[in-house]
Formats: sequence, C-alpha cells, structure tokens
Amino acid sequence: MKTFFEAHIWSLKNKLYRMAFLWVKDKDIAQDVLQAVFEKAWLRKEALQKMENPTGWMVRCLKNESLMHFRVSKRFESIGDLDLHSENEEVEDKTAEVKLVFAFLESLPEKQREIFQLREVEGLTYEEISEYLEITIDQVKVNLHRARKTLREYLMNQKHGR
Amino acid sequence: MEDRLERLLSKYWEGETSLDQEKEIKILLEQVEGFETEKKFFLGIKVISQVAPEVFEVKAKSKRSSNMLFKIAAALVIFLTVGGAIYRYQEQKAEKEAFLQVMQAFNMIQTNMQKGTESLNAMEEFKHLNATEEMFNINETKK
Repeated sequence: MKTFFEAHIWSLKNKLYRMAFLWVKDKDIAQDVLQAVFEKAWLRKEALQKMENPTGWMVRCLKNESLMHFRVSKRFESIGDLDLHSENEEVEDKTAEVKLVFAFLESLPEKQREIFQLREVEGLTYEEISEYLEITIDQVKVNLHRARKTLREYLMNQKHGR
Repeated sequence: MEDRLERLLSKYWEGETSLDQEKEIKILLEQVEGFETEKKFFLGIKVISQVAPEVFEVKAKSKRSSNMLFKIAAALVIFLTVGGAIYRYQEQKAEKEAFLQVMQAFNMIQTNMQKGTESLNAMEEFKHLNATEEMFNINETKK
C-alpha cells in the first residue's frame, strides 16, 4: 500500500518538473529545483498530510524555489519577469515547435501562462488547476479563455508571417 | 473530419471545450491536411508534455541529512558532558589544593604559637616574686 507521500506528493513530480522547466527553461536547473522542493516536502510530510491542499503547497514551493534560483543569480525579480528568450537559455534540445510554444507563453501574463500550461501540457481539469494554483474555477475559466484568444491571434500572425 | 475540426476549434478558442474534445482536436490535427501552424504548435505542446525528470531519490538523501544532524547533536552532547566533567574535576582539584595550602599555613602558625608559648613558660617561676630584692636576695646580702 502506498504511503500518503508516494500517492499524493511523489506522483506530482513529472508535472512539477515540466512547470519548473517552463519557468526556468533549463532541464538541469528544473531538476535541481524539483529535487529541492521534494526534499522540503519530505521533511514536512506529516504537515503536508494534514494540509487541505498539499498540491497547492507544492506548486507554491516550486515557484519559490524557481524564484530563489533567479534571485541568487540576480537575473529576475519575479516569475512574471522570466525572459523566455534570455541569452543563457539552453536551446540545444528545443525544436522549432517547442520554441513556438515558448515564444507564445512568453507573451502571456503570469497567471494565464500557468493556467494554459496546466491545461494544455498537463491536461488538467478546471478543478485540478484551481487546486494547483489556489484560485477559483471562474478565474481558471476566464484566464484560459483569454490565453486561448491570445493564442488564436498569435497563430494567425504566424500564418501571415507577422 | 475537417468540419468537425473547425467546429471543435471554434469552441476551443472560446474556452468551451472539454478535455476529451481537446484530445480529439489533437488527434484530428494529425489526420487532416492544412492547419499547419496549429499542427506545429500542438506538436510543440506534445513534446513538452513528454519531458520528464531524471530519476532521483529524495528519502535517502533526507534520511542521510537527518542522520548527519543526529550525529552532530550526539557529538555535541558528548563533548559538552565530557568537557563539563573535566571542568568540574579541575575546579575541585584547585579548591582542594587551595584548602591544603590554607591548612598548611594554619599548621605553621599553630606550631610557631606553641613554640612562643613554651618559651614564656620559663617566666612562670618568677611571677610570685614581688620585688627585685626577693629575686636576687639583695636583703640577705646587705645583712
């Protein structure tokens, strides 16, 4: 039988890794961030079990760790300032398709970006996204709608070479 | 098929599709001709969704670090206990030495006092003599 940690926390690792990857744009850094988050979670596993929304705590912790990484390197002030086209970006394993997605995500406000990636990349329901980001379902729907509207314009501009 | 895709995409842009319909859009995009930009974008999403972390172990590392903390704490307790015992022993030793020195000093004073008192005992014999005449039999000499 799986423990609480294995069933509810450890099972988040792939999704959290991809969230970190989309924030920090570097697989090695994303791995370090993820490991730091899970070490913190392991030390607080009893407290996590008592939490109403341990997933939300994990996402918050992931954000803080990602920010910590950038604050240490004094490159950014907030997740919203993440420059998806930074010079230090490791692009060797990014195809044209992935770059297209990254460029689009860059054009979105922080909240829309997070909601869009949880829906499109992770395939989460509105309820799950609201749990991950600790926001209401209405906020999820509104932000997703706005993100898709922007996507439609973005793809149209791509078609017309703008 | 293309009409179906068009309809689903219209709903998608409005944020009105279910997860199943969104999956269907991605399947249809792989089957129909055209929609090149959409195909490219959703392929990028697919690639990102397959990115996974390297295998890593959290428990062992955390356990190691907690074990290390426990060892440090244990070493600290032993160090403080032994250090405290040595300190107390040194303190008691110093107190004992000081006590012995004081006692030696008292002994010396007592010995010297005793010597002084004994030397004064010789004078005891003279204390009943009332005058210098008695002491040296001066009167008898005069006679």
